[in-house]
Amino acid sequence: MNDGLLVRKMRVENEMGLHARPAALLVQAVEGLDCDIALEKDGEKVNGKSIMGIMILAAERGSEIIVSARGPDAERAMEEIGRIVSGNYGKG
Amino acid sequence: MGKGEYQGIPVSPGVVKGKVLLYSPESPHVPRRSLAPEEVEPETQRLRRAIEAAREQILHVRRGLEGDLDEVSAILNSHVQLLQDPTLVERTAELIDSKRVNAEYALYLHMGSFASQLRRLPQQIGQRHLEIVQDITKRVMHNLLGRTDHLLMELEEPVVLVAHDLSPSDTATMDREKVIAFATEIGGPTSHTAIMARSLEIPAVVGVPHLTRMVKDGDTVIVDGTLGRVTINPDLLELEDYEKARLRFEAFEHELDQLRELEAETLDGYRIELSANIELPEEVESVKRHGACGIGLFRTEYLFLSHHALPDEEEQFQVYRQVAEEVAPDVVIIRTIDLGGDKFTSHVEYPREMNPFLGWRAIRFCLDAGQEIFETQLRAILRASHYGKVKIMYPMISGSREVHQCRHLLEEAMEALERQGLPFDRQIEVGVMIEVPSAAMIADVLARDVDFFSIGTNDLIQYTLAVDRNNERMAYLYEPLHPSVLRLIKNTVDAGHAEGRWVGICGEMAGDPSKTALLVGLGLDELSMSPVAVPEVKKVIRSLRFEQIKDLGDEIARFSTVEEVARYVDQLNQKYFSAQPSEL
Repeated sequence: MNDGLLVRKMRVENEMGLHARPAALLVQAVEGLDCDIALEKDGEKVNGKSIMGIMILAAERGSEIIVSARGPDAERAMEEIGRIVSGNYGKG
Repeated sequence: MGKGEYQGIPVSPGVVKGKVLLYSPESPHVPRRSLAPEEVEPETQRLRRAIEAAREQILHVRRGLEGDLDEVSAILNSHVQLLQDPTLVERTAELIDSKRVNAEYALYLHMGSFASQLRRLPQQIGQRHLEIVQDITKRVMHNLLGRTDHLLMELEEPVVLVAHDLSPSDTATMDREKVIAFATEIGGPTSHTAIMARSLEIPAVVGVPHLTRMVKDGDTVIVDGTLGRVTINPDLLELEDYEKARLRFEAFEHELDQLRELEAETLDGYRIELSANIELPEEVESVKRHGACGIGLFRTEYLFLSHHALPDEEEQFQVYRQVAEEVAPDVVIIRTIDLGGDKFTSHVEYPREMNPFLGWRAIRFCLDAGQEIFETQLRAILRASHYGKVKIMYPMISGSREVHQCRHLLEEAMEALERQGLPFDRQIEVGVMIEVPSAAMIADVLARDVDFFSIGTNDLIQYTLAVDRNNERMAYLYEPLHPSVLRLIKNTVDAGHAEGRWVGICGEMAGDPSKTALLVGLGLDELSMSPVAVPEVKKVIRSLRFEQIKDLGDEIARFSTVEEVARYVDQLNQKYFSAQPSEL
């Protein structure tokens, strides 16, 4: 079990950026996971399980975000977020 | 009683007639009440129930949608996630506790501050988010206040929904069997209302000012979502027009369905590139809907005419990229700005000219005082080329010196981008518009320096015949079938082909089905036209035999008058249209 803090830098690749719909999918993907998640862009940090937070972040395609996760499911969360941010949702 | 015809923005095609249902969900008054300490907990519970109820209502709506409404369903997913957002309950509950106010007022405070944060985002992102947020706020508020909107859910008879605006949950909760069209006062082609209407395949017109004040429940209206018109309480004549429009649309839909996926190919398998001319990125959808294969002319002037300031590189890049991505794997040919003539922008000072069409316009301006604007545009186009299949086209070229100057500037732009490490398509095809007679005459020379030609017949005709195409008195001299025009077209095609270049037409002529056989016979490789003209032209192409018309250019070269050419073209058309009446 891993309780440490994971921090990763990710580039938003999916077409629409993290706008309303992808943001909804992201939250959906991590809502059940046992970990805290934070997304950070340009110094603004928001709760990764809150769609309202992600909406405010308004991460456009091509922008860089820093994802941090702490808790037993942190690794899973990183994978899920990576998948959506890279634009591969809805294909798997 | 309201009457008359009103123009709005067409956002979903089709035409229907029906009875008005005026829908005006007034924004609820938000009551404010101070709480006693022991009331905080029950009030928080009340909030939770109202949010949960809203979530249930939306899920209920979504379950009722069929699989073909993915778009709508995806939008509603954002609503559901918002209502499930843990911070929504937490923060609102915090406000109930700290400010000792009722749930309605706490929600109003929290969502109000969230909405103002969204308003600070770039408009195109923020606006979408805002619509969703306002929509769910309204819904939760209604639940708290004990109101529910059953108004649209169970309707007795078919209605045309008229409103100031419609929210996604309004349109999604409405009785889809009964709502046959909508018309609103605000919105645009990409607003939720428009997307919904297209998903539901009902006609819609948005942006009709003061519409809700001009109609009342039960009025008869005609909504023409193809032309963007709303007719209130039509008279007999207008009803007759409606019948015609309805039949036309039905026939058109039927034909469109049949033609959309078919190739623009003659009976003997000769393929023509059928593409579309557009002015706005939003038109891409129409391009696809009409079965065109890419964009043969993306006019970029609107970017420069519709803005408060000259659009910068980033802004242009985003627009070009969006179009490139949306049409990929098909091609988009971006024409560099054609300002001057009859299109001016207030950001540039123009000299007063006696004869602007023969003056400082298009490439002449770009290679002179407009060079900086031109360079910015070239960079934006190049950067977009990384995201799809993009080609560049220069307007109003009259000689090879201009082509060389353009190439030099393009090369410089490419080198600069390389230095900056920005990706672009090094092999990007570059072409010129042939619209000045001199260019058509030296097409053999120009062909060595470019990858393709696109003949701009509107200007080519007016310059060749020295006829102002906007002057009604001279209209009778404006003859697309003048032998001189056809010779110039033929010369351009032959010169292009001799160097292995493809040659297209992007003027009005390309979209005129009575000239399709002629143009195909002249050897044009590509015809680019307004999206709505595509199906008809495709139909003609599919009835032709290329083998029988491929030498028609030589025959036409012998004609001396417009009348002779016109007779020949008539005969050609009759031969094909009678032989293969409606073979698809």
